[in-house]
Amino acid sequence: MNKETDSKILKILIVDDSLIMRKNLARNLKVLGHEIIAEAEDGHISINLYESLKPDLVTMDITMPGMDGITAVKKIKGIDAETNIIMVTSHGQEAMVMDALKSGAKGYMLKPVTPDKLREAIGRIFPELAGTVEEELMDE
Amino acid sequence: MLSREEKYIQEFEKILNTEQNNHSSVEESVYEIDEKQLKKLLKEYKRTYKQLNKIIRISDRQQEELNHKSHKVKSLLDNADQGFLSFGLDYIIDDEYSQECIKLLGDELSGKNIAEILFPDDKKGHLFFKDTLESVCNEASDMIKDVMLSLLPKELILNRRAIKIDYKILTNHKFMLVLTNITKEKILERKIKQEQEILKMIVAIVSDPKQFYELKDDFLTFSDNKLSFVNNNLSFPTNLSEIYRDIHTFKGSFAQIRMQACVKKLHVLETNLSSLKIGGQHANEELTQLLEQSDFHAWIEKDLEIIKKILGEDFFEKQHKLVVDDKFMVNIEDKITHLLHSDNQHVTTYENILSEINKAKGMTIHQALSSYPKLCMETAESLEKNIYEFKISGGDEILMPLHFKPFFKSLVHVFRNAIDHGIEDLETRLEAGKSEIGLISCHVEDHSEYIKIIITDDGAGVNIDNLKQKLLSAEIVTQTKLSNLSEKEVLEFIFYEGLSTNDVVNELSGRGIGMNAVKIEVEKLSGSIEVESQLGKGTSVSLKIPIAIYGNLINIASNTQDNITIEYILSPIVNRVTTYLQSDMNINLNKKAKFTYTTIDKVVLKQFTSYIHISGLVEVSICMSYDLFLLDELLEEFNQGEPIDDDELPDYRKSVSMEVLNIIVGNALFNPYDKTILEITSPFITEYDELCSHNINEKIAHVIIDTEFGEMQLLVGRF
Repeated sequence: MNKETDSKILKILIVDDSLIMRKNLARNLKVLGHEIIAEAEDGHISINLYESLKPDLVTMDITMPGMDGITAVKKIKGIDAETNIIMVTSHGQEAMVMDALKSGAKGYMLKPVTPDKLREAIGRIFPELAGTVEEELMDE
Repeated sequence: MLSREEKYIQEFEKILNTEQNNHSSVEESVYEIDEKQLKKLLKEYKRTYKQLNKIIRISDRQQEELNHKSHKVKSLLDNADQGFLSFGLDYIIDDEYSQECIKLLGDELSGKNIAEILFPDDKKGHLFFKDTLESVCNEASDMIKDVMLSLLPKELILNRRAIKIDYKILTNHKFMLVLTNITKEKILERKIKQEQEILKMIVAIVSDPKQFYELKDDFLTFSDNKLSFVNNNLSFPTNLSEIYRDIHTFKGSFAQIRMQACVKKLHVLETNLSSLKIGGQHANEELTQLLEQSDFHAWIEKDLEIIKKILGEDFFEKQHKLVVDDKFMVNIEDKITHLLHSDNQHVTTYENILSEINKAKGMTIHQALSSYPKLCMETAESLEKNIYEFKISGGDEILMPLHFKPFFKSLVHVFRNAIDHGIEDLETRLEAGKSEIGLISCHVEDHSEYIKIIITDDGAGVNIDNLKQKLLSAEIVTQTKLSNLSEKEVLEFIFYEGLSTNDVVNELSGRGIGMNAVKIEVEKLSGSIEVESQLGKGTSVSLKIPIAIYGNLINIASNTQDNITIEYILSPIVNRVTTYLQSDMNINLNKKAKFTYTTIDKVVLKQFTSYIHISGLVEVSICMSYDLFLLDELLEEFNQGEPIDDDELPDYRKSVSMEVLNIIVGNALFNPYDKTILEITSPFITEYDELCSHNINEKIAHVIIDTEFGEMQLLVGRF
């Protein structure tokens, strides 16, 4: 069981062409109590891994060489319409957000990544895992 | 007092009684009174009398009811604010008419002639009225009757009032008029029409300001020289014709832009002139006199006042401004830039010229804020509060970077709050011994590396106690935490998302949700916001925003496709780098960043370099190069202290240099509010210590950022 809360542990696939970013995300997600089942450094690999491992959640970078994140999302959505994908990227442009969401992503997170941002993004997709801001302030 | 009938009955009864008593003794009278018959008669009479009384009572009661009802109806009609009256073909008004008729038509109406009252001066109308009503009486078809009635006047002006008349046919050749006072509606109609006319005028002027300015100037010149138009060497008819033509043309021009006040006055003058035309012999002196009497200046002044009020004083100042096409400007800049590159002797001069052009194109901070004073006046008016007109002070010398627009837009909340929650209403202010009119001020301080915008009001200030209460009751903080906060920290909760104005309007004289929006914008620009407030005295909001460290930059567009200055790219990136290093990575900067322009051939890169390409509306590349220690420090922060194997180190180093570049450029250039279309590639690594480009004389913006762990190089240009 997750040591922070009595909540479920997610099996997560991390997709990012940056080594340091994958490590960073993995660390932050582990702190929240989740399990990283695989890492992929480009879109193609991510699709294969998705098919074989069926993770609960995918974090996907947008700018990657080869197949970019948004294309990868579309393809994964083709495999599994219920897929839970959070875009993790340094871009905040509205047009891109819309693009990603229309392609099937369920969330969007701006780098640099912090545990709070992760918790919030995950909480939107899995409400049972969402903490509340008030809870934080009320902590003494 | 007995009634006559009751007396009779009494007499009858007396007779009957005496008859009975004197039955035996008295002689038989001549008239034999049959006792039985008499009794019967008396009984009948009594009964008749009872019935009569009953009938009288019923009749009285009905009369009472009738009066009552009639009174009710009259009261209804009298209070209906409409005049009801009736008349027959004799046109004499009947007695029963409602109160409103007196107001509308005058007193003592019964017996007066309605036709004379409605058409006191209008013989034709009078006759038509009578003829029509008579025709209606002779007409069988109801439909035709209605048509005839529709020919009668529906509105009349009587006793300085506008009256609406409805005609109704009553039976037996009688008519009823329903009169309604529509004076107010007419006045409103007229007002609306005037407003519409003014609107048309403003639209016409704004659509072609040049035409307006020219007409205005021409007319004022004409006015100044009016007397010189009468040339005593020429004949009267010649002078008259020429002046008439001029006035006529002016009238037409003013009509075109709908300056009605002028048109009307000119029309009157025209009429006077044309009457002179027809008349007998006239002399030039008469013309001169007529022109002297015509105060042209005053005529145009009326319309100009309205224009000034709606479009603002500076609309007239705009007359001296040119509207220039973008392409035209870029063309000029292009030519000067070419000269800049080819003519080495005068580089500084050309750079100065480009700098001036850039200033003309851009908007200063002062201009970005200039719409707010007017907005404040309007807000104050709508909330029935008074504030002094104020001007923005400072900020004239600083150009506003384009990406600051959302921040400037969000300041509307600060101003609105200052008036809504800050400035008190008249009574409250007087009771507090303050001036009737509130004071709002806004100034901009230029601290070269950052600007400070300070917005103050002398209003009620923030009630800290109420704020604290609010925070506790909404369970935003606990009591313990609250008691540990300083007043300044409590004030910061003004920006808390969710502290809505609705909750606040009754309990708190504090600030609303708009402030949260402002805070977000300020933070996006890596700035800070501070509020100082004194209960009863006022509030001051200070917004500090870091701005381009190097002041005004020159547009170094060396090709006409480049419409966006490098400043647009450079400024947000440098700002983001500084905040990233300091806030995100906890690396201190030794001094402020050093900036120069250089050329590709002079660039020497550091040990670790990555670069990225941007395309779309602008084609530019961005490169970041690091000293070893700095890079390793970044790596350590990123990895959150986790150790890295030596053989993995090179990969990690490359990865971090690319990722930092990605994050910074992504954050800086691709913000949610920016609609510019840009595309960004993945970062690349280069092992070389120099950049390459098509053009070795390509100008590159070069920034050195000096940290406690070493230097970072930032290069922006085309390579």
